[in-house]
Amino acid sequence: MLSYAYIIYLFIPQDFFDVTKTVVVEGKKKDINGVCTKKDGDCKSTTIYDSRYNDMKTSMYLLGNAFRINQQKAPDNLPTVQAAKKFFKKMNVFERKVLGTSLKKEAKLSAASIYLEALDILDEYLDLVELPPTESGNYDKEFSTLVGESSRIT
Amino acid sequence: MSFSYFIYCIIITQFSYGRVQEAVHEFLLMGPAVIKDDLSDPTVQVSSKSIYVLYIFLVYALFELCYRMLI
Repeated sequence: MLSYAYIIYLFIPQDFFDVTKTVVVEGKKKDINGVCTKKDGDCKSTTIYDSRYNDMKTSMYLLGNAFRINQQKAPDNLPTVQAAKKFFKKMNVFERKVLGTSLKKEAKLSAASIYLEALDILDEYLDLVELPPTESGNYDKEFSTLVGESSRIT
Repeated sequence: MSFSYFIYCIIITQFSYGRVQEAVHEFLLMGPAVIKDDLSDPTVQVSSKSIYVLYIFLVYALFELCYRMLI
């Protein structure tokens, strides 16, 4: 059975744009010691899934907005948010290219060129939000997406 | 900057750093396949072929498990 498990592992989809892949909100148990106390009897936990790209869009915008030092200034005027939006614009074109729904004017562009342009913008964004650049080797490992894993604010 | 806004910024930073870094990690993973112009690579998107093969293996494993349990 182990060999089956290995073969199945090889075919697990790891794509970036799959909306059924990433768990955004994990479903919580609603029953108490196995007994459902809800009036409607619905104690099923529902997990919310989305693509890693959509999660990235949300978190990049929020992180960019956290660098606002003046509340009078609109978030869209921040350099971090502007860099994030530039990145989303490129990535939306790339997503359409990958999913095969690209517009007529985008047909001539190659996916590799769009990806490289997006990578440059991403480096710019990472520099603004005080994260290491992409070529630093920091992103070779997986990261935890859990909130409050550590009690320390670093 | 008010204190509550300062706390909000810290919470958002804590919330987002891990997610952004994980997303960048996955974004960089699909780089080699994109540079090779292979958009059907599993790191970029789900190919229907890989899902089909996975389905066949799952069904086969299930049948074998049932067969062994019966014996």
